[in-house]
Amino acid sequence: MSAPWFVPLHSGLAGHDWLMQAAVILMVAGAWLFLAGTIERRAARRQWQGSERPVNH
Amino acid sequence: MRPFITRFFAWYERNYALNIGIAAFLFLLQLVHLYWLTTDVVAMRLTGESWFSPSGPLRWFILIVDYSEIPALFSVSLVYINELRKGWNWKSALFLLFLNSQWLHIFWITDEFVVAELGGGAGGALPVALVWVAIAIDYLELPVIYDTMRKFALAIREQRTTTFLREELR
Repeated sequence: MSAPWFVPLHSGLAGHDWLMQAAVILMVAGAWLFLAGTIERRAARRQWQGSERPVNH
Repeated sequence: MRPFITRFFAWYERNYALNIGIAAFLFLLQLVHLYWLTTDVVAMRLTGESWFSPSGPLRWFILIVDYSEIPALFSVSLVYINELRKGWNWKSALFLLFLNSQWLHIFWITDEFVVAELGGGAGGALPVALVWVAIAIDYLELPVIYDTMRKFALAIREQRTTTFLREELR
């Protein structure tokens, strides 16, 4: 059931490859999650180290 | 579903500098696509000659930018959904509408149709006037790109990003 007026995403330079599109989405999502995860882990570690810091009496 | 959304936006706010930075970067890349559209496709139609005919690595760069449009739309939409979640405002709603009108351009009145029509080829079953609608939809990204960059600059000014650079990426 394909409509004649429906054509896939195209930059006008080359045909759009949906496998490549999926790869780019996964790469961006992967880099994003990696950076966010690293930040959260480091924040948690800093918080933990802060709670371990000796208190001056 | 609601606890998930709440947790997601709590995460989003905690990593605001990173999230707006990624959105701004991906969206800024789309200027490359607009440059190509203006200097190749539109210039060809208006002046009869192309001012920019990319080849080699530049052509590949433009293609990669084209593939980054969907992640850009998603990441920048999140910026404005997050704004609207905090409170209704017309600007965010309008920018979200501008941004997501791109889906019409991606799936229906595509660049392929624009290039075919403006290049004098057979565009298909669509009215020719829709070419200019597609081009206008692309240019609607410009105010949103400016606003996203402004938000990123504000995040820097509020030291959210400087803290991020100083403490998180050391």
